[in-house]
Amino acid sequence: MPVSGDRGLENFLMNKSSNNISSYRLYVASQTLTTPRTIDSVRYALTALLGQAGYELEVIDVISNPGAALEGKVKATPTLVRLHPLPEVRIIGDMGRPDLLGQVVGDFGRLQSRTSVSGD
Amino acid sequence: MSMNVDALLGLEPVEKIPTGVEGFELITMGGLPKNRPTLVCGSSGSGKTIFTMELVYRSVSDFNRPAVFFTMEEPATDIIRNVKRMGWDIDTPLREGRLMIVDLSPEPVTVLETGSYDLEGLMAQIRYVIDNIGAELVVLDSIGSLFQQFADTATIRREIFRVTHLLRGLGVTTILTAERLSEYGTISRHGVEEFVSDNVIILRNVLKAEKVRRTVQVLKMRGDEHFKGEYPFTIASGGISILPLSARELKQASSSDRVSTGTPKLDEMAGGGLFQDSTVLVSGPTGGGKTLIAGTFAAEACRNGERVLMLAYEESHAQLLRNAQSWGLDFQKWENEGLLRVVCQYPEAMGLEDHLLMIQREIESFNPNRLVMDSISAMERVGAVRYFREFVIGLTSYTKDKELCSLFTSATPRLSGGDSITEGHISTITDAIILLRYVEISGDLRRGVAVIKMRGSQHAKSIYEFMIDSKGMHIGKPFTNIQNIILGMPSLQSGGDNKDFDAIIEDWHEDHEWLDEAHKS
Repeated sequence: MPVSGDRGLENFLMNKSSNNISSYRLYVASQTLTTPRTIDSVRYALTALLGQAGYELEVIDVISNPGAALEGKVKATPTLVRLHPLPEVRIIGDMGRPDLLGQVVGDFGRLQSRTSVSGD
Repeated sequence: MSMNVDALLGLEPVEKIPTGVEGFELITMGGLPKNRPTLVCGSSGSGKTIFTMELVYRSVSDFNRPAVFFTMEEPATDIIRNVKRMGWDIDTPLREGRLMIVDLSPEPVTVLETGSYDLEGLMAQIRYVIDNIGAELVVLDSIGSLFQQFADTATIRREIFRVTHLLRGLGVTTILTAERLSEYGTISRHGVEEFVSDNVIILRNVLKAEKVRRTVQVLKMRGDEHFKGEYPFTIASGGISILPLSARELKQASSSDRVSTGTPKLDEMAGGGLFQDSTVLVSGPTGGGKTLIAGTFAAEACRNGERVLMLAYEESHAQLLRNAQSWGLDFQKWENEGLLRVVCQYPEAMGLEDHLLMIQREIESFNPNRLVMDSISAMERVGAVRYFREFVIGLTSYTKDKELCSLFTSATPRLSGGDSITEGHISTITDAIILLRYVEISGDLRRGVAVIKMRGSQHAKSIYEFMIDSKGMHIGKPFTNIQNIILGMPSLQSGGDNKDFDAIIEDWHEDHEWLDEAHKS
């Protein structure tokens, strides 16, 4: 059975709940050609938004670490997960437009959002 | 160039692996195509999840082949709870790590899409789990739900193709499920069959004549044979039972051992009794003595210490026992001795598939030597004529397989006889037919019995008169000068046109023997 909770999130809540630093995790597939650019885009957007010290970013390669994909229930890559502050938000896509990403990360609520729903 | 040719040489045909799902091997002629993807399509509520869960469960428990179930719609906990009522021990293989249920159901998390993406995450998980537990069977339930979870349809179509390609490459037997919107129409909602076109199975849940009928159809099984029709199935405790009805083979060895009907004269008419594994139809109008013949048949077995299963669809348990008592048959005693089991049920209580399953379960648990069904024509009311015929074929092939001597009664709609729908549909399936008729002679209503069919044996061709009293039935002499009894229009033969003179004299002498006796004394 996969763990339904997110260990990273639990760790984060236990250790750094008093911290104001935002925490992000980026799941990528190393073999995908656009991956380096995606990582750059995400760093660029987060730095622009929160400053160099304002966030933590963990990059996970699902190819070399498939267990993490299982644990994080990650189907699509790239997937950027905002672990803190809550609520958890997931952004999928190659983040090709840093301006759009910044907008999404900063104020996801105002964007056209899709809450994933169960299929019929 | 030579490498390409090498890759094409010495290939084996597609192998099938058994699934353990009752009846599935029969309709697919062996099971699931090994190391290939199979698409299971069905509308909402057609049983896709139960079916695929049974496949992984049986794979693990019956064949010791590790399996993994990716649930993309329902949470894993819901699925496990739902299949618990099947009575399956899911916990043990889960604990031992031979079965894995991976929860990929949607979570209430805000998901935003920006830019292009792929499903490498899902593929990484599939690879990881297969490697980890050595899975030989993988279920993705349902692949179509990806279209609900992601907005970019073109991407998802491309990625599903990659997923199936991956699964083929990994050499695992795969089941993908997909939704349908209607029972008859496009194969699946999002055209998933374009990617998994080798093998397609369709589950249906059709409401017909106020009864739900579940069916399974093997639409395609590329590179191999399979049965092509729709086969009914039921979901009962223990799992799915596909009733392959007409797909059953007539492979049973025919027995030449004879058993008694309980009435010596009737045995004689049938050329020495009924065959041990035969199916007998007793047809007649209401009150014609069908239940009596059925009761006598059952009693004969009980007297010999054999077990009888009696299925009554027209009388209650108490009524049946009372009627038997009136013919001098102590059913209560045999029931107490465990030789007789009487099951009374309204035909309308359930669908024909469920009836058949119930009968099979009863036969399995009681293990009888004989089966009595009074009456099979009551079953006509339950479903369409074609289903009824399937039901009879399914039942008789099952009883033959179990070497049961079975007797079915069938009520004719008119008092004088004539055809019934039942007879038209099952007379070709049964091995022997006993016909009961009322015969009106000079204003008297008398009873006639005839054996009109006895497969593999000679039988008497005459129509015999029979009487019913407190000791049961007594078969007398044939009606010699009445014709058209079978047609329900008995009439006296005019004079002795068809008889030779000697026979008439003989008859006369017989009839007047008592006169001679009287003269002598």
